[in-house]
Amino acid sequence: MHIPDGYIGLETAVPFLGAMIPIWRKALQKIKTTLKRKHIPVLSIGAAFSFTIMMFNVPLPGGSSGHAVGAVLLAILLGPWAACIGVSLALIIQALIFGDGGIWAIGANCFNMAFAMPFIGYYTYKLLKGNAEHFSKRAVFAAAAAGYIGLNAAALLTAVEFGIQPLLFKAADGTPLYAPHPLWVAVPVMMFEHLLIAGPIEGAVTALAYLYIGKTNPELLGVKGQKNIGSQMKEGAAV
Amino acid sequence: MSKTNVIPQWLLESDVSDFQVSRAKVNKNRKSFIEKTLAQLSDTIQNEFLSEIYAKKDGLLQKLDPRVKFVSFVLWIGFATLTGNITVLVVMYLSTLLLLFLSKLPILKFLKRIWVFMPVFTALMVLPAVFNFIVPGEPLWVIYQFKQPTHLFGLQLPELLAVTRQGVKAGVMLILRVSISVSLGLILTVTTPWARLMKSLHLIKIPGIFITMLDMAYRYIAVFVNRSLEMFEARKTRTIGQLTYSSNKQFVSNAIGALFLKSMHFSENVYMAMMSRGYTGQVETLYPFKLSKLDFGWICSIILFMTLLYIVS
Repeated sequence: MHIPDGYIGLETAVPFLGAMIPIWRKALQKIKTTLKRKHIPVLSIGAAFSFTIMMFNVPLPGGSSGHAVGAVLLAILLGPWAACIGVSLALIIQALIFGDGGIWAIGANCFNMAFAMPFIGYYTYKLLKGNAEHFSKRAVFAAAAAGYIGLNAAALLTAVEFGIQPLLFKAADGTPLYAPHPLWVAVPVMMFEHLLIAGPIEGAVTALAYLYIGKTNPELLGVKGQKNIGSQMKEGAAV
Repeated sequence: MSKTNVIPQWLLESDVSDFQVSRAKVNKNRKSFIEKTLAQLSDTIQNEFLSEIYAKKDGLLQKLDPRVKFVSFVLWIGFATLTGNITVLVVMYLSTLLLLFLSKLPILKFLKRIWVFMPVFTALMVLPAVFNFIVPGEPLWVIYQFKQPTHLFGLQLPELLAVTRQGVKAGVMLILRVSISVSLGLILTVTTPWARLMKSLHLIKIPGIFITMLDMAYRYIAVFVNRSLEMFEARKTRTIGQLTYSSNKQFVSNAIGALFLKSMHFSENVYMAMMSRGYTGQVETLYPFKLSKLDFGWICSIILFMTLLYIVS
């Protein structure tokens, strides 16, 4: 889903960079007011986390593989603005160091995976969870659906960005200047893969990781953990 | 005689069949795809990026001012995206090879790294676009001529199936562009020490706090890749036989959750460590930036090169 340089024209890449600048600024402000200086390491380490799990290719039956982005999981656990910064950092490092995604295309990639994905995922989670408690069955379902919908929204945006290239930018003889596939090819191909394969993986990974954190460290979302060891021992002694 | 000196009967019995079964499974138990990716990544990060072996070489690009290098490379990539002339793109690609040579980088190793992933992937992606039903245009090579207009599921198919000139041109252009930008990006980052690259980002008005986070994230990627590798290894050493697909999936998800918790725990410790060493939110690097004659020479030659290419196209 990472867009390299050359797939989209500068005419598309630059406006996305322009759109991301106020978003990043707003995210930094939000973080400064809500998270304070203490959270600088939290976010950088969150980014390192997101980067690392993009490397966790989950094996698929049939030999292929897909990877999770983790943007929705970060959004649920740290809030969408923090997730936006965290995933952006991971994407920038990928673009600079590994050539995975272009340098000019950083704006478009961050818009898809670091802005649209965590926000859509986060509000899907909020909406579906409703008043249910954290880590309840309904909340776990909401996390799975949020991961699925968030990833597919990002994939759809990417496909549309590819698909409008041949419509907008063509040489005089009809040669497409950038990505050559029109919308009717780019969207179905991208969505087929993400609706059926990568989406369910992101959903499952989001929900299972969420469940794992619920079991082991629920304080992270402000939920009190199961009775502490002291009280468990007392109960044990009573039996 | 105490009982402890007697070897129990079940330990003396040899169960040959069981042994053979487990041997067979151990032989089959190869490294998983994730483990391979992580191991490779960890190797690259530690041996090449963090040790900065290429940035320490005595080449042309290593001597340039990082700000000049950063801006000129980004503009160069932008130029490759703007131009639609294949000759110009080929010349630009050849010039990246020259840069590899001038910076004393191992050319074959870098060619392998550049070409194995992105351009090959791009080639696969653009392959269907050479046909006329995606990019209509002049037929270059007619594959099949239908006798009459064919209908399939209510759609009218074109009368011939052909590879078009426009489609091939678009594909070649895209592959060249991707290889140019991947090469330039890689050359830029391997010839510049990371700390200096980050400092040059100040130039384009990126807030300091953002750069600090970018810097830390870069350092901790190596730590987390290693930690996750350890998780996989720890599980493997405790595993006998084959694992099912669902238990693998469960494990990967749990590993992600565990990694998240570890990272949160870790960040608290890092913060305290930073505070105790006098962290105030400002970051200083030891090298002051200075423009040399070489930098001006580089700027002039880049401008000349791009103007020439622009005139040609």
